[in-house]
Amino acid sequence: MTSATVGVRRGRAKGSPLARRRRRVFGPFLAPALILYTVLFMVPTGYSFYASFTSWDGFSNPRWKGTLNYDHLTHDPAFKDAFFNTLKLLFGCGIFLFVLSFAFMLMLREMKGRRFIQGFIFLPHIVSGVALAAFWDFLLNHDGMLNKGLHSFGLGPVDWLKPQWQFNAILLAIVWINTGYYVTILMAGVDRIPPYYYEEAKLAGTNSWQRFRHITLPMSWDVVGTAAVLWTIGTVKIFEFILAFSGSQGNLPTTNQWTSAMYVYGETIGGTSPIYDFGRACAGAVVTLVAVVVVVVVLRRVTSRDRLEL
Amino acid sequence: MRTSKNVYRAGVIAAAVAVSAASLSACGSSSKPGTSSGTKASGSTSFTYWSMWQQNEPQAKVIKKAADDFTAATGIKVNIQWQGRDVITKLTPTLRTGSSADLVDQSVNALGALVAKDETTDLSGLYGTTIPGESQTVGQVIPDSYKPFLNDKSGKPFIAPYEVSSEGLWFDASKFPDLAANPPKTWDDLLALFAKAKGMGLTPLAVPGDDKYWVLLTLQRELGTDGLKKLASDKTGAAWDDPNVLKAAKLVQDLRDKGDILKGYESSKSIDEEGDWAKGQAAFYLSGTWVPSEAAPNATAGFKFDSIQLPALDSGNTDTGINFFGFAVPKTAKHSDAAEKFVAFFMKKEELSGISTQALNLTPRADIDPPAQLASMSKALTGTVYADQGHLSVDYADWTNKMLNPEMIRLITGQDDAAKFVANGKQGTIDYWKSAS
Repeated sequence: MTSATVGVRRGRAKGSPLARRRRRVFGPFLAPALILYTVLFMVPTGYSFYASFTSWDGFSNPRWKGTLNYDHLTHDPAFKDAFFNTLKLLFGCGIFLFVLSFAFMLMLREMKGRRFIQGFIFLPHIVSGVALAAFWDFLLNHDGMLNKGLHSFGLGPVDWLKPQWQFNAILLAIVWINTGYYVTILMAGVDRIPPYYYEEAKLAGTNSWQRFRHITLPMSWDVVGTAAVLWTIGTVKIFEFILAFSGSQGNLPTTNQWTSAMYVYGETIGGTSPIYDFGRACAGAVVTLVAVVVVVVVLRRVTSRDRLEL
Repeated sequence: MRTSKNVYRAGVIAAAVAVSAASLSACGSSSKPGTSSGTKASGSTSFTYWSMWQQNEPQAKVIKKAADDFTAATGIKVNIQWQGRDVITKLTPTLRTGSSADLVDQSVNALGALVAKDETTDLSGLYGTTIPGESQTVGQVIPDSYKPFLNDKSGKPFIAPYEVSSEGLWFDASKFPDLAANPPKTWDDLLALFAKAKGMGLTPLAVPGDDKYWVLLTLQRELGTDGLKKLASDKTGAAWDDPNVLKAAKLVQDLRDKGDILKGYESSKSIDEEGDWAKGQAAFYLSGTWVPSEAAPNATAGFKFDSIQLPALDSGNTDTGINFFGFAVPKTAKHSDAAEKFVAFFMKKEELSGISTQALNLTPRADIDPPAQLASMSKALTGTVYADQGHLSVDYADWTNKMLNPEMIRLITGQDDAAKFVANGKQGTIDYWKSAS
């Protein structure tokens, strides 16, 4: 082996001087974020996983109880309600939300004043969930704006918030709050598509649906996939709107309106007489986490496509 | 072109992290095990007090004045933090990491979890302390009939109450001037009263769609004080077979079926119904002692707040439910001596009177006149009292939240009839205990 060969090999192994310097600063730049991430996220995650196998009231030391918390969840009607309501949010709201967002996107794409309308529908996303819940109640309650509007046409009143419909009102509100956000994300994907594709397609005599199907959708597919993952993660965090909308004077909403996040709150510190069952709450959170990871994996597989570099 | 495998992997990781963060933020964690009693000082010059009130509430103003008077009289500084209603929730993590508060206040129910875990200080010493400038001790000014509800399981007091609350059927005494003196003695009398209200052009009742009082208090009257506990604690569900459960549920169902309740109530909340009642849209409203002060801004001119208790039913029960708001000292408090001195000072007639005159609420001291709006309620509380709402929200909090409350709401809003209420209650209780054990 000649010294020249060795030199080449070394050079290949370490790369250019710039690459070497980059590698040297990689560690110091990454370390603070990694440490913070570990302390703030990974350790609590691990501890909660451990706590899900214990009886823990948050005051005293956790006591090991094996899988009893998980056994309990399989029988607990409140958890079943919470879990299925979360699925309703995820899939029911999700499908409606994405169809609506696509519709807005198509409508806005070539519209004058699109930035204004986009900003307008984005607005609910940045307003506090508590304020939105108050508005939603003001709109839908028996003496609310909607019924007053109906009354002026000689119609109603309709009990929009009767118990059987209340969770549907929540689902609708969640779509209303989130549509602007997802329209913005999808628009960002669509804006990257060069206009000449559309121009050529128009010259070829395509209609709007064909342009959407053959240009817009395939060329923004990676953004759609990312938005779907964001929505999946977002649904398990929906909490304050439901508490403010359906709870009353410190009381929890009835369990048929609980979601996974509400279950965690209800089992721990929620309500006027909290239960402080942190072990069971953590088990509920872990089950939800696993379910969401499964959904995300499936979603990524389903939406996985070769990405177009534009 | 490149594949999106990295995006896929990043998506999974991002999902896992975000969900963990969301769910675990409620779980919380602490790596510091156990709690330990704080080092108690004997001559503290200051202490920290976490209050359940917000600064602009009348109770907060009364407490702030007392704290200023206390500092002027003793030189002990009171560091008040207005934490709001979830004060105990905020206190909980500090119990594991070292105390942040030497004194807290909340209702007996909200303090229940701390008491159950033996995280509060025995206040026997405080009860034996003479109130500054007076001849009686703290324990002597609190009526004996209240004391069983202020003790922990070993019979030691854990709360020094400064405000008393209860529930009643509220009405405008300017429309029913003789009612407080001659309340209905039977359920039929009550129905006759509602018929009278209808004759006056009033809908008899304002009932929120999230209301539990009508079902709960009717059950209480029908079954007696311990009856509700039997419903909760009988794991076989057989307690629900008592015909009086069905009878009580039927009485509530009939109110609805007869159209005695304001239209649209199924989709309303207590604050909406309270407002509608105060505006004169309904004659009666079943709720707590907070009603006069809370509903006053909506009340029609000349509205005179007064209340009666529900009549006796088969059990003959005429007891009045009682709830307390008061001070507790966390076991980890480092300046409990100063905190207890302040409580004794606040129990002075001169200071405590503010709860009646400014906050328009009842105090535990018999020698402080109740506000006029609560005079009937105060009189009712001189009779036999029982732990408010059968103490279910403390002793069987999980069962109450998950089983009883939803079923009561289904009954009052007409989603279920009385028979279904009983059937669901029985099966729900059996299922609850199966999953709880």
